[in-house]
Amino acid sequence: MTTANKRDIVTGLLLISMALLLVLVLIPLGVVEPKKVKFAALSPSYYPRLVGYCLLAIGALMVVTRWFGAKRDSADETAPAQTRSPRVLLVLFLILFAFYWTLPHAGFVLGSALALLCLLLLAGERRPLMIIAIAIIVPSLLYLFFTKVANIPIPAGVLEPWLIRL
Amino acid sequence: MLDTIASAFALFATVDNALVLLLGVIIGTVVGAIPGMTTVMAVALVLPFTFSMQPVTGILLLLGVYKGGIYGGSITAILINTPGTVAASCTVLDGYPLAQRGEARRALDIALYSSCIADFISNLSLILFAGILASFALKFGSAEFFTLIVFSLTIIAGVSGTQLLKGFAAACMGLLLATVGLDLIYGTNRFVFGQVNLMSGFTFIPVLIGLFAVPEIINYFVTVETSREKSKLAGIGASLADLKKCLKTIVRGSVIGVVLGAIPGIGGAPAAFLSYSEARRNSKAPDKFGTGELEGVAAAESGNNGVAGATMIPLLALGIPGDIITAIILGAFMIHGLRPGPLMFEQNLSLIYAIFMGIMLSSIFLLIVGKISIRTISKIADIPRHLLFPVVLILCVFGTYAVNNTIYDVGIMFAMGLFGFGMLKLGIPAAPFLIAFILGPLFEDNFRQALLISKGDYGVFFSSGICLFFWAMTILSIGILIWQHTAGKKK
Repeated sequence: MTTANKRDIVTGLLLISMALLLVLVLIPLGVVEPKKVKFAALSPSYYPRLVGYCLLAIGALMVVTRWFGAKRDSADETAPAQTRSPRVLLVLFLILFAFYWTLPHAGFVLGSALALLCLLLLAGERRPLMIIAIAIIVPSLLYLFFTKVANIPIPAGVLEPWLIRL
Repeated sequence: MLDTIASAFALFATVDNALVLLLGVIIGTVVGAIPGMTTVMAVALVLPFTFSMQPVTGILLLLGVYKGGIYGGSITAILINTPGTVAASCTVLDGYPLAQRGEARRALDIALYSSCIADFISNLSLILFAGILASFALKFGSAEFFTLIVFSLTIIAGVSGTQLLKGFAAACMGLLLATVGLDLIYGTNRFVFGQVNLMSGFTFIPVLIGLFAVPEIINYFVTVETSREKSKLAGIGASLADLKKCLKTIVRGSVIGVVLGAIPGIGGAPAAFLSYSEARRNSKAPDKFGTGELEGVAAAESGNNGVAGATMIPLLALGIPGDIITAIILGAFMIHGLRPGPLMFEQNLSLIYAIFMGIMLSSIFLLIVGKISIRTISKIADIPRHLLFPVVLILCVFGTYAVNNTIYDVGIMFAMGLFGFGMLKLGIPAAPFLIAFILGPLFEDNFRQALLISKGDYGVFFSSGICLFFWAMTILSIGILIWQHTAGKKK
């Protein structure tokens, strides 16, 4: 079995799980049905349920065709790019998570500057002057554009006393 | 009529509109020229900047980016053998061999002239046909609209590439995401789970940016970057004789682009390849194609640019997108409180004419930008991606926040980004997801409205000639796509 086939089977199984979760758990718990419905197709759960069944059928079809029948050659797809260590992905997710949680407190300018600092280092940039310049200039320009040109208030956070004077 | 044109001119003829359109063409050309950055990504990132603008200005900015992006993709295709966009992949065949022979400037000039002429022809077709189609669409009821949307959902098969089943799965997920919020008929909650923010459903921009920009950025960080060739702009420009020689090919390619562009889901790449194969078939020296033939560049570029204006025909006339970028532009219309379609031709005709005027001007701007700034743009395309992608991520965060001024949307964007990255790794295409997410509410609404009117009789979907026409078109479209799919596999 080719790598592409294995990946498709995993995808198919994930789709089946997702569809079952939807039909058996999410719809019964998450869709509020009105007391009276004229006919089944008007029910708020009818359409999501229908889509759920389609998803289930697609997932099953994918598993069956890849398992028993059509072998998909890995050469069907472009050669996968060489990947970096999984630690990079973990560090990236940590940066994004920290960025999201600090935004309301630190504000967009400081939060983005710190995130940029980390992201540029993670991307491999080593020139301190370049890193600092980008980390300061980009968020400041975006802040000025949105607040002064587009009149969209952007949270300034701890830098508000200084940024408000701009 | 003259009154409408006069008010449209007043709406369009402002310095802001002209500047914004020019800026859009420049942004699109630059982004299109950067390998790894897509035109879809550029349009998605520019979209939040249009919120504070007048509707016409905002739409023109997006159209400028769209048009510039399609041309921009050819720059790196010719200079470094790397198409900036999928649509430019055909340009590589003859563009790069020309550059290798030291005739890069000549190839770029022909690419530019072909793009501008094709764009102009495509825009003319939009102006001529959109109104006719819209007046016809005024006869549509819920059942007709439902069958029309079923037909337009066949785009999904077109944008799924070789992964048809995965494309359909992505579309189902998009349709499901669109059901979150209040039920359209009864007003009861669906998948809200007590979250007030979810009552109005998911906002378009966080989903869009999350699906199209964030996964590419994450993917950049986790893959080892391969070294890129520096762009070299050599040789002299194309002569008038070169243009004359290619003119027939350009017009043929433009017509192919217009016809394929008006059919939802076909896109620029097939138009470019069809135009290329037709040019080769009609050429006196078909063997030269693929070795640096100027007509090859002209055919590819006219084919893919001919699509740009024509994809706007179904968008403006019927309110259904012709491809993924027009799907984003449809979202932009909605953000500005406008709904493209036949009613817009009745209620907002001056706005449509103003857009037509802008679209014509964009062809001229494309020519100017391409001629004057080609040297600078080809240098900008060399910006190191390790500097570019972190900056783009910050742009995504600011842009997403600006929609509703809520951090919650930024969270949705990151969540969709992770989801999109998962899809990328599993080989599930993102475009069908977004198209289904946009068309989903219309699809469900018209389906249930039609059934409500017919008191639950499904025969309503086959009750008129228009319905039957769209069913036939849907079957035909799916048949063609499956045939293309299987023929492609056999090859």
